[in-house]
Amino acid sequence: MKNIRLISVILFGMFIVMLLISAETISYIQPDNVTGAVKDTGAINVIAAYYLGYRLFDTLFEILVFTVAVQGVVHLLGHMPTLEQHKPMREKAIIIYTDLIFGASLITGMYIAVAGHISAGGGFVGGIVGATGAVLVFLTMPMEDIEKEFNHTYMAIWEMCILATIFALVLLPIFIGMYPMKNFLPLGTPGHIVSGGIIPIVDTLIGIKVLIGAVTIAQTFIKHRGVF
Amino acid sequence: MIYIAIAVVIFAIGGIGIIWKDNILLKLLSLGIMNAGVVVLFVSIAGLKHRIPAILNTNGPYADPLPQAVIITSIVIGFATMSLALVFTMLISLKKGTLSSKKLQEDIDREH
Amino acid sequence: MSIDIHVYPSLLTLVPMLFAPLFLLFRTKVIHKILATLTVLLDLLIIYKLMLAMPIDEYTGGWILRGIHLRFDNLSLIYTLLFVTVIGTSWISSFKKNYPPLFYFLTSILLSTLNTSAITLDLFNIYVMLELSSIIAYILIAMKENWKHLWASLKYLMISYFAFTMYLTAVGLIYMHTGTLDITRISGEISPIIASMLIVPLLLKSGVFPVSMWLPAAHSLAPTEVSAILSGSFVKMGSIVIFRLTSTPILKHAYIPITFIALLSALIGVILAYNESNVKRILAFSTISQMGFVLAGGPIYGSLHAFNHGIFKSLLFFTVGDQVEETGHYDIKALKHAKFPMYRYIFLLIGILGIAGVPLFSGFISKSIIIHHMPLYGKIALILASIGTVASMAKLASIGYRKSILKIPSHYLIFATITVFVGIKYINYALSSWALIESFIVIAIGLAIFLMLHPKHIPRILEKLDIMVIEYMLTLISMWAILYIQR
Repeated sequence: MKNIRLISVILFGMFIVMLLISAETISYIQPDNVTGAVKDTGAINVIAAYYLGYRLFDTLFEILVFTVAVQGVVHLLGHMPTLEQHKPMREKAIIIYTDLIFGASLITGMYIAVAGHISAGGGFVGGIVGATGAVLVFLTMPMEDIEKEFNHTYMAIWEMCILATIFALVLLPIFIGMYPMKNFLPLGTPGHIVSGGIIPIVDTLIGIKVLIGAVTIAQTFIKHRGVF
Repeated sequence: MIYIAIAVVIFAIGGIGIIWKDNILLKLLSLGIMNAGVVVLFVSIAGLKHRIPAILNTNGPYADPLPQAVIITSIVIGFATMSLALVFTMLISLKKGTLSSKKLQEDIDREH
Repeated sequence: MSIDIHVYPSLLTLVPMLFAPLFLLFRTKVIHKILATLTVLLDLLIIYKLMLAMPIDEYTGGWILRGIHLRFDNLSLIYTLLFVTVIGTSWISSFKKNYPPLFYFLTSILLSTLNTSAITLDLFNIYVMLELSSIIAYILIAMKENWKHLWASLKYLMISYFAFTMYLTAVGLIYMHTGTLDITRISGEISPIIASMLIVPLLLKSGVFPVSMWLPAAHSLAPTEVSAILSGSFVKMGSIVIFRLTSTPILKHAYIPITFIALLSALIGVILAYNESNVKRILAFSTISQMGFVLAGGPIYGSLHAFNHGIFKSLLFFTVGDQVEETGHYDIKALKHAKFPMYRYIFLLIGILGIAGVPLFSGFISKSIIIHHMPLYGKIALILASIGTVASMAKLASIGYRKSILKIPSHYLIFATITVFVGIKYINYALSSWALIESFIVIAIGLAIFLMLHPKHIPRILEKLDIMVIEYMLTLISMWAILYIQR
C-alpha cells in the first residue's frame, strides 16, 4: 500500500511542477469589471453587484448547496442514537457572558447582512456571525431548553419558506416583462442603506436562512456528539 | 506572481495529504487545505494588478471584483461538502469503530 | 400574459428549483404527487416552447456579457428531455414505495441542476453544477446508512472533491489568462496541463473507465430509483459539458485523447461486466462501457446515444432493482433460483434488446451511426465492445422467468415505449444492409461467447481509494502528454 501511495505522490508532484511552470508563462490583463456596475445595480460594493446582481444565478445554487447540506446532515444524523448525558456549563458568569455575546453577534450579523451592498459583508458572512453566538449559547443550555427554544420543525419550516420566497422574488420580474433575476425595484441613490433594489432584501433573506441553517447543523451535532 | 506560487504550494500540500494519510479525518482536513489553496489563488488573481477592494467610496484603481465574488460560492460548497463528509465519518466510526481507510477497505474485501 | 421567449432557458432551471422547498414544506403524499406532476408538466412545456425557437441565447438578468451565458440548442434539447423523463418516471415509481420527503426535495434540485448543466456556457457555473449534483448524489447513495453505503459515498466524495478542486484551479488560471469565464468568448491558447485539469474531472463525472471506479459501488448499493437516476441522467452531465468544451476552437484538439479514453472505457467496461456476478454491478459496468460509446460518438451522434442509453439503462435498473429488492439476492446464481416474474422479464428483455443494438430498438440506431462515423481503429474497438455487451446482457437474460399474474407498471411502460418508438420511427437513419448484417454478426458472436467462455472472478483492486487516486493521476498525466505532443 505504501508503494502505491508513493507512486501517487510522485505523479502528483510531477503535476504540480508542470502546473507551476505553465503558470509562470500566463500573462495577465485585468478586464474592466467595475465600470457601469453601480449604474446597473445601484450597489457601491461592486463585489455585491456581481454576487447578487450579474451572477445571482450562481448564488441561488449556492444557497441550495447550503440547504441541501443542512437537510442531509439532519436526515443522516437523525437515526443516530442521541447522547444520553449532555453536560452544559452552568456557571453563572459563563451564562451571562454567552447571552451577552449572543445578542451582540446577532446584531452584528444582521448589520453585516443588511449593509452588504454598501460595505464589505453580505448574507453568508452575516448569517455565520450570528450563528457563532448561538453556538456559544448552546454550550450552556440543557438539551431540553435548546430543543424548546430552537425547535427543529419550526426552523425547517422557516428555512423552506425563506428559500421559496427568494426563488419567487427572482421569478417575479417575468410577470412584468423583464428577465428573471433582474433588479426590478427602484435602485435609489448609490451609497445609501435603502438602495440597490432587491440586493439588500435578498442579502437579508440569505442572512436569516444561513443563520437558521448553521444553528440547525450545530444543534444536531451537539445533540448527537455533545459539546466536548 | 509569488502569490500564485504560494497558492499552488498550499494546493500541493493538501493534495499530498489526501494521498498519503491513512486516517479519514486527516484526509478530509487535507481536502480543506486544498480548497483553501484555491481560495488563495482566486484572491491573488483578483489582486494581481491593484489591491484596493472595489467598494466605490474609496479611490481607485480597484482590484478585480469578479474572482472575489465567485470564490464565496466555492467556500460555501467547501463548507457543505465538509459537513457532509464529517457526518459520514461520524457514522462510519460509530458503526465500525475505526477511521483507518486501509482497515475499512480490508473489511470490504473480506465480504466478497 | 405572455412571457418573452428569451427568458425561457433560465425558467428551465428556476421552475424545478421553486418547487423543491415545497416538497419539504408539505409532507403529505397527495401534495407530493401534485407537485411532482406540475414540475414535470411545466418542464416539458418549457422544453416544447424552446424547441420551437431554437437556438436561443440568454444572459441571466438580461445583462449582456456580464450575466451568465445560457444557450438552448439541439444538444440541450436531447439532454433536458432525457433528464425530465428519467427523473419524472423515477418519481412515479417512488410513490409506490416509502421514500422520505427529502428524496423528492433532492431529486427536484437535481433536475434543476441537470437542466442548467445542459444550457450553461459559463465555466464557473459548470463548477457549481458539478459540485451541487455530486453533493446530492452523496446523500442519495448514503441514505440507507449501512456502513458499506457510507464508505462508497465517502470514497466518491473524496475523489470527486479532489478532482473538482483541480477543475476550479484550472478555471481560475483560465480567467487570469483570458479575462472571461464564458466558454464562447475564451480566446488564445490554453496550456496542455490546464486543459487536462479541465477535462479529466469531467471524465470522472461522466463515468468512463480509468477515472470513475467510484461508479460500480455507488450504483449497485443505491436504492432502485436512485440507481436509475444516477445511471440514466446523472452520469450524462459530464458528457454534455465535455461536448460543449470540445466544440470551442481552443479545446478542439482535446477530442483525440478523449476518444482514446472512451474507446478504452468501452472495452474494459464490458470485460469487467462479463466477469461480474452481482447483477446490479453488471449494469453499472455496462454503464461505464456505454459512456465510452457516448463520448466516442462526439456531440451529434454521442448525444443521441446518451438519450437512448439513459432510457433503456433506467428500464434495466428498474426491472433488475425491483427484483433484487423483492428477493434480497444480488448474486446471479441465487436469482436463477428465484427467477423473474413473467411481466418483469418481458420489460427486462426490451431493455436488453435496446442495449444490445438489435434492429427495431433504439440502441441499434445510435450504435450503428456512431460505429459508422468512426475511423477504422475506433470501428474495431466499438464492435468488440458491442460483442461484449451482448455477451454480458445474455447473462442477465439467462436468469429466466416464471409464470405470474400480468401487471404493467407505468414506469416500465414509459421507458419501454420510448425504446421501441425511437427504434422504429428513426430506423431509416441507420438502416443499411451493412448495419443490419453487422448487428446480426455481433449478436451471434456475443451469444457464442456467452455459451462458451466461462466468466472468471476478477478481484476488485481497481476500486480501492489509493488505486483510484493513481488512476486519476495517470489519466491526467497521459492526457497532458497527448495534448503536449499534439501541440
